[in-house]
Amino acid sequence: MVFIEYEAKDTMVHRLNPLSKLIWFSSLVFLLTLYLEPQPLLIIFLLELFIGYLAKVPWRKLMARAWWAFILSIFGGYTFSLWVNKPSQFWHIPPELGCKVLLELTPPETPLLGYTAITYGGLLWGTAITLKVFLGVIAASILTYTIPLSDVVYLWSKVLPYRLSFICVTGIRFYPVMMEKVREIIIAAKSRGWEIRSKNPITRAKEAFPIVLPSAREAMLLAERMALAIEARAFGVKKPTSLRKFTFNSADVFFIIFNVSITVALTCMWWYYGFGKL
Amino acid sequence: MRSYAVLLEDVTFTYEGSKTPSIKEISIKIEWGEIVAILGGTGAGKTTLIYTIGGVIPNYVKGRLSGNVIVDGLDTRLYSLYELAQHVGIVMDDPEAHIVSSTVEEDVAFGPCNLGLSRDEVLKRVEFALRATRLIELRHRNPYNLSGGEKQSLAIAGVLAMRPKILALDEPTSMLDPLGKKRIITILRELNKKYGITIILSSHNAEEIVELANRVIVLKDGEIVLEGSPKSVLQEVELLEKCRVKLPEVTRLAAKLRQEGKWTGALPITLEEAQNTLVKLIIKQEKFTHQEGIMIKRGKEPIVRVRNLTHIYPNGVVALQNLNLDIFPGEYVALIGQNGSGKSTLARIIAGLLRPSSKMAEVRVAGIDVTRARMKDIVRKVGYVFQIPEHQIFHSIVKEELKFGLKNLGLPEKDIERKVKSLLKLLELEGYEEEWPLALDRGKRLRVALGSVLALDPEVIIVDEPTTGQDWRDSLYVCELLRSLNTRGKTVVIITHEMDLVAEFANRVIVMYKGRILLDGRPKEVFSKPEVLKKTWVKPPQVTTLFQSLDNMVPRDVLTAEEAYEYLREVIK
Amino acid sequence: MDSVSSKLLLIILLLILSNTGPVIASPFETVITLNIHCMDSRKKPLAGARVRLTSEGTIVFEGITNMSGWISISLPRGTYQLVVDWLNSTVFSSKIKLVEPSTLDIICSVYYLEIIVNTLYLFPVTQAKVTIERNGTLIFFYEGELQVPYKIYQLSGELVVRLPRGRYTVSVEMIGSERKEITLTSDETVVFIYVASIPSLITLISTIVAATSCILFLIKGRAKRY
Repeated sequence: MVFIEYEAKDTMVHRLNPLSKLIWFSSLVFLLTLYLEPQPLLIIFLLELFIGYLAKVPWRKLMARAWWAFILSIFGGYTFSLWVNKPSQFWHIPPELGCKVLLELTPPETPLLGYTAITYGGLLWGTAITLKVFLGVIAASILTYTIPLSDVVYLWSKVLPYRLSFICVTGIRFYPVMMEKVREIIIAAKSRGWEIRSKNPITRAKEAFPIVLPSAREAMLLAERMALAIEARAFGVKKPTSLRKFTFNSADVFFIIFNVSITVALTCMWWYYGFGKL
Repeated sequence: MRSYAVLLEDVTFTYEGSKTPSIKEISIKIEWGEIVAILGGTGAGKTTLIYTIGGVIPNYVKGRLSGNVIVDGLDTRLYSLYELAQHVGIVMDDPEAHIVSSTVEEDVAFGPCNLGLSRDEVLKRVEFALRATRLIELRHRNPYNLSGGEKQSLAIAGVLAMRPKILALDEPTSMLDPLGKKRIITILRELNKKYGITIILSSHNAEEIVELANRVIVLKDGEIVLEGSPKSVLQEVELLEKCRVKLPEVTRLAAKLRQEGKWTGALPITLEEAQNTLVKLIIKQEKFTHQEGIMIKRGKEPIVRVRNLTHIYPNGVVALQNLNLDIFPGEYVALIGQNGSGKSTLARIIAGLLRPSSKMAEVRVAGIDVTRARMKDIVRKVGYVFQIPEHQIFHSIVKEELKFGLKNLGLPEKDIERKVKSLLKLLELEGYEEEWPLALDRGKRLRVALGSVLALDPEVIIVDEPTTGQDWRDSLYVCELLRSLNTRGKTVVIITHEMDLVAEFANRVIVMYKGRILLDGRPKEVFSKPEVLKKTWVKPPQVTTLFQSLDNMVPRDVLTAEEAYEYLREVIK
Repeated sequence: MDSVSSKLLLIILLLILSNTGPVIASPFETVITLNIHCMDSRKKPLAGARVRLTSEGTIVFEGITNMSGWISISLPRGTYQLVVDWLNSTVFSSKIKLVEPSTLDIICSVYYLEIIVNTLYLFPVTQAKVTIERNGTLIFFYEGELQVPYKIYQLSGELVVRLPRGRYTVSVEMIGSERKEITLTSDETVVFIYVASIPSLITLISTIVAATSCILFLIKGRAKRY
């Protein structure tokens, strides 16, 4: 999912080899899978904000496009945290601390829901999940903002067939374009008095149907026109020339070392000290 | 044997699934270095012809092709699209359809890179293409952040990087504002003069291509009806109007005068020609004094009231700055200005489709505060027709499409049926009610979109660029329809770049510039200030410019060919 | 024997018997039960403490508290000296008067010594050899995992030991060793920072490398390519 597209800028992060940035992203994803507790995630969050600052990420634009993902993560994270209230769910935090009830919502006998409560451990878990989504969105945005499409295609084509990597990357890149068209279609529908009123998910899906037809049509049109344009420009005929010379300079080396070493440090802390475990 | 750039011999093409051919027995010979314009209305076969020349037909688009199509000595049936792309480059009307990369430079390099050329060769071609299309300064920009004209230039650059000797462009300026159109015309002229590239382009607007092309081919219903130099072709005014081609206003004016015997000799096709001839023909008058036009009677209460409107988009772009505006019932307002001046933003806020970013803003339409009211209440007061009609077509048959808004408002079925019936009649869509809207031609599609808005019977109707992608006849039809609604009491606001339409239909013109109102008044007042309009790249109607250039011999505020004719028939020797 | 002599004999017999010490109690003398609950400074039970009661220098009772820190004593009414020993130190001493059956909660001078082992204050040591001596005598020895408890603000390898009041020498050994003298008069924390373990060294070195490479990246990255 692309929230902000590549912009050719002359920042330290833009100048890095795309492989260095991919290593950074991979180590981040690895760390995100480890942690269930907010402390290490906050450290990673600050580091990521720093990288974003170096890359001169347009934060306002990102927030304008990704606000819904953040809201969803807050809502989802804290909702599911209501069920994080059993001692068996805590490995590192003392269970009596983790299960410390701040506000009980439903008693254990409640049908379907069972026992739900706002607990200290639940709040930590919910915060961790929310932070993970924030981190993922920001990291992916930094990546798409600082790596041009052709570089991504070039890298992916090292492991996948060129055609497939181009199509996948183009699909990702066209997400904001498509979203813009869908937004336009929704506005057009609203201008005709359309709105989703029902709270029933099945009825909501039915009510959303008028948007589906023109959106699907736009997607197909976009794909068709693009296919014609790229075919006319010899796409897939030969192995394409890479316009950029990919080199590793000292900045890349230090960046990779930084990422690897911070990953080792944080992983050790997780493994040996339970740092970030719930 | 003589070699031609393009040679078509008895070419006929029928799209798969269609019964009638889109082009019939077309024979054309295009010399090297020519600029050939293909004129015609919607459905004339222009796009099909361009696609055939470019090799898209039959390599990409399926159908039955007969006859010979030889481009740069190659039979298009025997070569793949990419092989042909190195001889003839094809550029579509939608500038965004060509964008494949994250920067301008990469996008241009896409084609040569795919050919596996050496890096140096690719860079050389990119440099050439960027220079030829004036995109050198923008090489690192994201293509989606370019203006319309720049995007179309990028499309041309991407194709040029393949080093074709021929360019085939399908209505390259139809989706652009005046600044964008000027840019593309200039680039094409330079490509032809400097680099000797043969250019074939289609259009429905003769005025745009008349100074560019050295040959014109006119199509109607897939057949060639006229061919020759622009000067010779544009003499056939009646035939061209039947072919739904927009003529230069000066040509139309001269044709009218010719009917009365007031104009002898060839009809002018450019402003200069008309000026040179009129200067000799007009009986010298006393210095002409400006006369006031008819004042529009305005009601006491505005139907649209805007106060302190400022809007800043989330990305920081300031679209509107402290705008204050009143639109009165019964006005037919044209909102004009360069792309990015804030026209669409203002229109959408008035239609309640966009909430203003400033809390101080007050926007009231027919008594309701559209910044706070529910959409269901707003749509009954103000309707908005989008620039791309397809974005507001939600159903697979015309009748259901017209019913869509009415069903959303929960009206009884009987009332809905009645309304739809009367709409079909008003829009001349009777007989098409069971058709798929997207299978209709562009003009009818716009009518369906307009009908879907009219179904809700709003008091204010806003139409965003009704001429985009439309031929002149369809554009006129829509504006006439809006005028009839205006006569019946509806307030109409159109956003357009076609000044001839503004002059013909609007009784009020608002010129926007950088989020503010630059000029606001009757068309005569606004168009009599060309030095102010220059800032916004808005050109007055051609007839107005003609009269303004005649040194006070004639009134400066004549707007249309008809008005000019009425005046000139009295003063011409 | 006449009646006067019998009475005299009875009186002498009674006198003799009444002067006999309480050791030879007559079945007719009262025994009081006293329940003693020994606790440490944090009011946690002190199990295995030696409880001794003496009367005029003679030990009249000696016992060990159970797992919950309780011990039950039955003695005749009187005043005794109560002494509680733990780990060979007297942790409580007081005169008590046994009048009626009762329960006695006593807070002994047993304090908590929190031993924290971090490498350079940064990363916890999770395994160590801990030795505690008093006057050259080994009081406590531990070799194994140190706990890393959950804390918001600090990471630490911790071992908590209960000790009687006194002067001790605490030694910690892993990669490197450190020794500290402490006087325990209340709950104390002693931090060892020059001891390391493999995990703490790996984490420390990685962090230093990360910080250094970050600085170098910032310096080198500033140089523009174009």
